[in-house]
Amino acid sequence: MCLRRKLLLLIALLAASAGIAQEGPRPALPPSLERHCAECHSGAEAEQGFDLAALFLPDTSLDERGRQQLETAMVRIRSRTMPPHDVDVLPTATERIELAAAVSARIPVDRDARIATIRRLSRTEYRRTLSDLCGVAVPVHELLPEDARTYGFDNLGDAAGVTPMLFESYLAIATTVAASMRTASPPHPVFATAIPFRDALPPFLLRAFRRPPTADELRERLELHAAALLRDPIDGSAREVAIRSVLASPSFLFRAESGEPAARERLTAFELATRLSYLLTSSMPDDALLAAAESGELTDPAVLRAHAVRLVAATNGRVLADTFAAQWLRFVDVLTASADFRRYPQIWSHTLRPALYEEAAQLFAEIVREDGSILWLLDCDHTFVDAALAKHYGLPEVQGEGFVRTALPDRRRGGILSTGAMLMVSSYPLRTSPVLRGKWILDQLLDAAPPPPPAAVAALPADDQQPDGLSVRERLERHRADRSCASCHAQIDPLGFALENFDVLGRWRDEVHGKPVDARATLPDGTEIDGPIALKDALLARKSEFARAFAHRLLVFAIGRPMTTADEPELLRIAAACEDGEFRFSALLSAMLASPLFTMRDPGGT
Amino acid sequence: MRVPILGRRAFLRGASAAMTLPFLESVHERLPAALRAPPLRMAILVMPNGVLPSSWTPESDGHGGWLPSYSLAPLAHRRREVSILTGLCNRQSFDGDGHYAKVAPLLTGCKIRRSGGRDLHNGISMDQVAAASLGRRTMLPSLELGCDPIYPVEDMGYSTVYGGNLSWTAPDRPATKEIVPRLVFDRLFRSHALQRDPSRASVLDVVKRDADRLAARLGRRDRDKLVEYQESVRALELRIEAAEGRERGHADALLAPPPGVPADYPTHLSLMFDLIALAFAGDATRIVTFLLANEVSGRNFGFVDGCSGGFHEFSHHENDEKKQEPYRRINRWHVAQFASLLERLSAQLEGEATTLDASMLVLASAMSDGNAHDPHDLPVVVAGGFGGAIEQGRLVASPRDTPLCSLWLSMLRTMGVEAARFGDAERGLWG
Repeated sequence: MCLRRKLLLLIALLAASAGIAQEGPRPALPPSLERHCAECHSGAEAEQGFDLAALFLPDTSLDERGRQQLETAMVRIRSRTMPPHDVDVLPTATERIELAAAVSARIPVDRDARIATIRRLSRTEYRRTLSDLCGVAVPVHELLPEDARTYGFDNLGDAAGVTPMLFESYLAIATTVAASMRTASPPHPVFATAIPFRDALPPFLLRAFRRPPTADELRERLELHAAALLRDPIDGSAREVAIRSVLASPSFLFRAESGEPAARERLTAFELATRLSYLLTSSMPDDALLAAAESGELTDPAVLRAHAVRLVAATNGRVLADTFAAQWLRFVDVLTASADFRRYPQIWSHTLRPALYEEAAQLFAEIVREDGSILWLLDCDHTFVDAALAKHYGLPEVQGEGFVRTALPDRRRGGILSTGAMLMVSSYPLRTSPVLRGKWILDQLLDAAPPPPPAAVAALPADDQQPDGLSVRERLERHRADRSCASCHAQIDPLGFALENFDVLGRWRDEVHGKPVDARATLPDGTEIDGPIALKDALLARKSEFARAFAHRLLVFAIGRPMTTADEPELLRIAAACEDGEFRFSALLSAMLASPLFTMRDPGGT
Repeated sequence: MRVPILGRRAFLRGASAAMTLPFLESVHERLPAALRAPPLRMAILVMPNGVLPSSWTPESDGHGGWLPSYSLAPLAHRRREVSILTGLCNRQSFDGDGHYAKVAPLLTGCKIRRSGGRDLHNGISMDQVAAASLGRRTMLPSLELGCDPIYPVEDMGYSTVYGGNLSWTAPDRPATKEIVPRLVFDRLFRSHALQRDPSRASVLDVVKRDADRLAARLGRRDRDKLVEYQESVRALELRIEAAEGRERGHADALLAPPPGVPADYPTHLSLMFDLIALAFAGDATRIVTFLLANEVSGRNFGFVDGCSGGFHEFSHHENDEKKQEPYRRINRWHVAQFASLLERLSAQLEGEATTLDASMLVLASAMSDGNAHDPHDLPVVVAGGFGGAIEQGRLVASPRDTPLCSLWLSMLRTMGVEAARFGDAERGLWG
């Protein structure tokens, strides 16, 4: 190469890295971006300084700023705020997936970012597994510390370790459970004296480890049994020793995914069975599922789906409500939420908070059980109350014992937003909080949590009865006068204001401390809303985003890791399939089970 | 000469009788003088949400001592046994936003990695450094206590795990705290059942080999988790070894606290303090950390006059006296609880001295003024004999931004841990 050509090349490179417009045509962007984004976002005059062409230059790597810009672009694409609504041709759902795929392909992802960390059984999973495996009910919640919630859920592996204290508890519980299995009437099959231990142990190990045991794992336990017999020739107590070593084993306490030996990125059929079972039942795979794993037919998507339908029916959707939904929609937190007992003496009733929980759990379980629309969470013409809760809400009287499905007189109530559980977990002890409620909606329902506030920003008073007589709304409006606060609070607060007719305990109110409730608000796009009905309509207009948020959270719970930008196209695909299936729960679940995100150990692996 | 070994039974009986009878007098008298000095213990108590500095920082009495401020008033009658430290800070907590980034590194002196849960990174906390070095002398290397389960919300992108744990055994691993008094009690006295079990060792061998087999098939993150598992098995083995050679003890069933988490906070704290006293008396452990409540605690202190509302909201007082008043009352309430722990330990006689004399107690918070999440001039109270290493009753004003780690370094050395440095401290406050 002659010097002159080298020089020209250098100049071209410098120009490119400095974002200087070059002569001649720029390199083409991926087709979808070219079609929907390039007109405004390329070249030196790019809107908002966001120049896609510069970010997609061939043979260059992305710097940190470029990465952040593309991540922001991803959020805009999925939240449908880009392309803007006034363009001639808006992308279809399929085109949005293509857009997300094109952007995500450009963002590097750490090699193992899409592999879940090994998961220790959560407290609930451990309890339910012990019950199914051993036939013993253990008050695990009194014996083990509460699990930390990571990315919203208590069953992820990243922050769930084993401490000396925890291991000791596992060992103590293993000892007690093994003894109970032996003395039960009839004894657990692995203690059946008619069956020699060497025959009784393998099927037990298969179920306990959720996979066939290795020869060593089996042999060492038979040796434990034999050694114990030498010390003390009582077969039953010798079996107890071996069973303890099963229940304290990491292969029982952890859900490990090592993948197919020949193709590590693919889950084994047993690992797939385990994912499915813990997703829907928070427990070990049952015999039918293990058989389907053993024969290998579970890797057939239709078979996997059929088992999912079977497990949903077997649990009535209630397990998923108590594990997944209770954490996603945070209604589990109502059980420990506090209200000031002087202002809200109703809190003394021991049944109020469990009843609020029950209503929310039944709402969710019904959608799963009846294969209803997931949009029922946003708006619904009925709810579930018992006599006391009906009275609490001021609904028509309910006869008899227990919770019943009750038609609602109007649309003010209906859906998760009017459950006392949601309304209470997003309130303070002495007042409602439009900010917490707005953030709850953005985060849980739309997956668009605002960034946290900067430090040293004053919180509003804890009580809404203050000597200066200012309402919470007036205080917030003052707060929003500060421009650094306004950009986020303009998104958060209006959603919460629309729920101001519901008090800390979820009861309807027309007045707050003698002043009429003001539930009017202006959404960031200029829409004026007033009260919960208009809010629900506004959220229903964003139902695609809601479907994606649902799929996102369910996937985190199911596969045990946070989603990355590389997962976005698949997430949008699942949400689109749910939408195509009239938002039925089964449509969402089927799409998820068919997705490589669910069936692969490493969906980015090759 | 044959040196009599104190049996565990004797220790425990002494412990259970401590509520009513002088501690261990009869056994103690038979010991040679050299063995009479009780071992040195340490307990670090941390309160959430900072303090109101104007009501906290005491005036000097003109002779090196301190005059009780509003918040420190509950310690006035013990002024001679208590010192107040000012000017300390934890430099590694300056950058991180929010509360979790302040409390997680309080005892580690390390900067924590902002993460929602994957690839957590902190340092090893000073209590765990001490436990690693001295823990084999007692049944439990250390005891980590708290009152709150891990909160379900991240703070500024920092994992829930950072907000709920003071003690870290490894950079990615907290020593999960125990919040149920009954479980702490069981843990203090449970190893005897395991000791009697002739199959225990072989069962533990098998599960350790299970972990090896499993690890061989898995990736890096997974193997780290299995290392935790194996270290936990090993910790149990060590603990049982430590208990061997001591007579089998029994705990007085009457002392056992009721199961579950107590409904009211004062009772909860009080039970935990009893357990600390019991653990020290029985020499079950010499190292305790106690996170009195998780950071950002919004607990309603309605049981303290004029404090109905959320603690965290009060801490952001905006210099409004109406919020400062409940804030400082809650601060003072915490100090009063600390004082009640001193009462318990000073009522427990060990020969001629008390457990308090043989202890290093610290009460601190991870920020000073909660309104601004101020990381400078942290509130730190030290109490007890400190093995004679310090003179108590002082107002110790260090130059601004003296590393808090210099206190941890000195305490480690006083405990007998050889340490050249800790965190950002190369020199101790003393020693």
